[in-house]
Amino acid sequence: MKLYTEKGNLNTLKLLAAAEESGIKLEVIEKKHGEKVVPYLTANVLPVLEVYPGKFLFSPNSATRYILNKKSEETDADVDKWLEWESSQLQPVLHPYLVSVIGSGKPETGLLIHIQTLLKSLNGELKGKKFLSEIGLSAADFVLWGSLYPLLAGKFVLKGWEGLYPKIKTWFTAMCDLPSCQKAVTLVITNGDTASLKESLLSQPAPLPLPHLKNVEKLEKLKLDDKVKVKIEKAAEPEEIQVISQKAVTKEELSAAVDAWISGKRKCRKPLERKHPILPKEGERNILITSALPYVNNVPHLGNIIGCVLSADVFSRYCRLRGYNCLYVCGTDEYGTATETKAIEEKLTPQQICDKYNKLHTEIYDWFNIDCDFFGRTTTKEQTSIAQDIFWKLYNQGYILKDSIDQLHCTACDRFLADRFVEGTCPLCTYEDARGDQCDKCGKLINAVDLGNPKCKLCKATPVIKSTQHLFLDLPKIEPQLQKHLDKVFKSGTWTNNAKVITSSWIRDGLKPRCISRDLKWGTQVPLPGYTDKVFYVWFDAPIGYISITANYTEHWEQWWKNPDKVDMYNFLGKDNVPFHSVIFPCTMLGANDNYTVVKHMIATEYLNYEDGKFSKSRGTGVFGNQAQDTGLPADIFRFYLLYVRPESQDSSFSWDDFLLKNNSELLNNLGNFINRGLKFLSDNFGGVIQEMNLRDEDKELLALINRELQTYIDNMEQAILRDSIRNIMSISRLGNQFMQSNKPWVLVKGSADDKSRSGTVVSLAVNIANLLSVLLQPYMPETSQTIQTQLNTPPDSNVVYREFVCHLPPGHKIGKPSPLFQKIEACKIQEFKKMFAGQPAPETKPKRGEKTAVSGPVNTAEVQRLTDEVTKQGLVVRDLKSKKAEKSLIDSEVAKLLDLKKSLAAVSVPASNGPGNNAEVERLTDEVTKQGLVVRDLKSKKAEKSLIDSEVAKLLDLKKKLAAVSVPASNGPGNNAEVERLTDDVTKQGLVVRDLKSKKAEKSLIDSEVAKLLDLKKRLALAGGQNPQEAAGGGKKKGKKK
Amino acid sequence: MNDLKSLATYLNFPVAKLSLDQKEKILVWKEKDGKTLRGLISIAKYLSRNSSHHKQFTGESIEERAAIDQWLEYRLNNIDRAHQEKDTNAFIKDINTYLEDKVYFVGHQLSLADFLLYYGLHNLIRDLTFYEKQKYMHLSRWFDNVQHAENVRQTQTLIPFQKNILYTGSAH
Repeated sequence: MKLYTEKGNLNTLKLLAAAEESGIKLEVIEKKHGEKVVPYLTANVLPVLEVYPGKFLFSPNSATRYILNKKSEETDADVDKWLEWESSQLQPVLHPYLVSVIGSGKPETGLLIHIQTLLKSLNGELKGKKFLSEIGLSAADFVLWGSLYPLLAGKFVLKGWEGLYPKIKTWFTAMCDLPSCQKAVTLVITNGDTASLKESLLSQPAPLPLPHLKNVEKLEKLKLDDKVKVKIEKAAEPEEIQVISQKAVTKEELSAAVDAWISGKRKCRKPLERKHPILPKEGERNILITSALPYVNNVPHLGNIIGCVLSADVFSRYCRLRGYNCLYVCGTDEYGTATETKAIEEKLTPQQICDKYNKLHTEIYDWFNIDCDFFGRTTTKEQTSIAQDIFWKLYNQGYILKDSIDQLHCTACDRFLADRFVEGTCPLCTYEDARGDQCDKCGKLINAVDLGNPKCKLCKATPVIKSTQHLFLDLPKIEPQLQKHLDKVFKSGTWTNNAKVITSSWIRDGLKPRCISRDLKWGTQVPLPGYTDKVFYVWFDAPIGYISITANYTEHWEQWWKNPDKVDMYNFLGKDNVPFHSVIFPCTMLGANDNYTVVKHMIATEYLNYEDGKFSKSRGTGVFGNQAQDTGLPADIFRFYLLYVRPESQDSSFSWDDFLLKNNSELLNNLGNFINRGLKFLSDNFGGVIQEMNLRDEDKELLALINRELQTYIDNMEQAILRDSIRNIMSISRLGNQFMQSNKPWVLVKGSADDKSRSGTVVSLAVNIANLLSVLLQPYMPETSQTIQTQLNTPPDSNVVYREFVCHLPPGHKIGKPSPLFQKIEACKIQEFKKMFAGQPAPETKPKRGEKTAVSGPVNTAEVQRLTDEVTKQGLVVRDLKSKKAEKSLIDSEVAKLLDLKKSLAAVSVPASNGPGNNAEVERLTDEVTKQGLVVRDLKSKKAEKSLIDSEVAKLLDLKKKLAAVSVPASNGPGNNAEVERLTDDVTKQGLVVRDLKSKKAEKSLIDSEVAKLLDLKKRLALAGGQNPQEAAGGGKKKGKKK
Repeated sequence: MNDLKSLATYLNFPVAKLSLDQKEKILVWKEKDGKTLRGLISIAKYLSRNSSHHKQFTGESIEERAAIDQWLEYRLNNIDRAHQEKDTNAFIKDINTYLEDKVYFVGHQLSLADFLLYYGLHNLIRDLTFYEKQKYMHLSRWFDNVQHAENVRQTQTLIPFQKNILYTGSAH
């Protein structure tokens, strides 16, 4: 074999080392730099291995692996991975870096960041391994060793890498000690000086750059503001597809499918009767489902809804369809500081607040068709008695500690202040209106006692720090029991990944005693003498709500809650609630040692975003529970979309465009189309009566394919992977559509008697599939399911989910009247919704209230003036900070304020530009443009920083745009009278020409060309007269048509 | 992503999840049992190796297997990453010359190299003019041959090629 290479070619290193290692003799032929070897390649790549005369391997990695494989072959997936990684990830950054360092002596440090990231991951992968692949020394090692050699050894070594990547160091040293590698080094690198690689590096073609890395560099240079960053992150959401290949249907599958179709109905269990109170039954699967209790005084947004109540609803509906004995409880969590604060705000008692909001919640969930067995609340006497009972059990068994903590006490109100009742200066960012638990400005969590200049929120008096006695739950003492329980249920139960990770990391960080009492009035009273002026902390109290709500539902609640062996409890919640459900609440129950049912399965969702940002109540961004119905769209459509984008393994977002797409493509075109088409065809051609079905092979195969989807649907549902099951439903519908399409019953029905009976088989099978879909759809879209079943006249026994597709609508069954299921959503409607729920663009700032009225009312010049002033002032603040080189975060926040103000100003001034008499506005803007022009010129002459100039230029352009917008009508207004007159004349003349031709019945083409001329003239006239040419031309056309 | 989905279908591979790691722009293949693979080539080779017609598809000799590896790498690093016209022109020209005396990329039957290069080149070839298709005659012949294997093409559109020489002389 011949190896063509050149002096000091880095990539030859791995090849020669591999040849030495495998003992294969290569005939090395040295070429001049830049000489071409492979006849069919334009580029002068080297080294090249000539396997046979005329057969070249020009990829150094493939050649290295080939040489080693000559001796003994491997087909190892790890080697694949590393060779791919080296050529596609490492080379695009390593090669240019080496060129910059060795070739030109000017290291490109920008590339180093990427190289370091790659080295870090390599270091991680080498942990606990001697070589890269499990199979031992392989092509992967030689390839990476060769490529990294000049980076890790010699003159141009990366300083300090040994300390950063110890695992790479061990591996690299071992590689360098191999005789084969030592030999290769002496052959390639003259005198061990890596500078000898220079000529070759400069002459070899560079690998094509990675497009996404290039972007990252650019972004870093531009220092884009946060908004753009958010967009990028959003784009970074990995797209995921499910690969279900059409594996050929096996004979066994076929016969099983046919058996089930014919006789499976007998094996299906009867639908469950739902008789309250539902209690655990001996020998059945008893499932207790809870959804995190929504906090009473927040109106839940779509993210909250999909996070717990809706997910739990889908799962519980599924459980019922499977015949599991399940109970789903939920309710509002009503105690706590926030309710108290809200009550003071709205001048109501806490109880009135709770009543008001509990009603609101109930209405929202009713609208969404959340079908709890019982929706309760935590402000009940059962809550008090059960919580106090659990407390006493914990206390008597020594799990409660007493300790004192420092807290702010308001002497005027004579009480300790909960965090939210204190306001003061943020110790971190000096924001003046920080709350006791969190600063609204910098978003950091703070301790109320650390606030500067604290004030009682109610009476504005200055509170003093006082020490007060509190009760603590001794979590460390219960930890062994908890750990034992978790070890068991992590293995046996269904836990989403985030639930496991969050729980484990909480325990790993060490559990500390947790305070369970608070100095409040609105809560469950602590029964311990000496502490009776305190209430339980809401997070001790709230999960007990699950129990008390069940107790409100049935007096036999203990059958559910003190029955750990027979009851499987599922908690549905958002990921922020995980520790309370997986650590604190289980500890409470285990510590009470009263045979409580402790959680076995935990289904936690990630967050749902709204469009590009977050849902925000204060800014009115996003759709909130009570607003969903204002859109006029059915609840089922919302349910469907929310479940389709359910944030299962990562955050996802609600996007109106996607909403429209999913509705129109999946629901309308796929599912709705299939069902309606089948039913209508059966009604029109067979009087709505199911026909005898004589199955052909292709039909049997369809049954088998449906069974596959059905089984995946069940597998997913059993693990509460609700999002994927929707896709199974859609797949079945797609299969049905394909089946109709390929059999064309509408053609067959007009044919011979045989054809007609075939047509009957096809459509009856399709209608049976529709029936199956109506059942599978039930957990997701209960109303739609009901509508389909009414149209199908579905027998009640169908409403079970069985592992196989069985015939529920036998020949002779008569269906009801079909009608379309879904409506198309128009794009203009979506635009409306987008606007409706966009909310205020920026965080609340003080002048907002004034600004709001200004926007809706007529133009308010005083307001404009005020805002202009504020912009100027804020501009000065920012400039001042920048000149002082203040902290970046501080500058950023001030800049944000400035931008905000500018936006408000823009919003306020827009109406002015449209109104009459905007000369003043034009003048003002002209002035501003001039001024801004000077600023820019000044900066440029001073050679200010580019970013600064750019931002000023942007401002200038913006102003110019505004000016243009304002002055447009003016320029069109007066117009050119002479021109208008001339054109009017022309139009009249041309009009006569056309009429004349028409009356003479001239040739059509001639008339057309004259008409075109006329229209053209009219357009020009319209333009000259300042009209919209579209309207003018349109008018002309219509007239023409009338004639 | 579509390529691998089609490949899985072609090889009768059971259910798995395919996603794109957006940070590193790497394809990720995840099976139900948690087995994870990263990278187009690694996934493609894994699928091919574990399929029933593994022998011909992944190369019949060490030499063929090495050549297939090389062309997969070529697709990933040269074809997929060519964003400028000069890069695109370079590889079209090279491939065309390479295919001058070949029916398939490697050996005498369809291999993984043909499969993934077909998918990698599809959009580009679709946008070629008839004149260009004639100019890169060998590439066109290979492509037309591969696309007529329906189990390879699957849902990709069929690209028309002229059967006889349309353009003669140097008028174009």
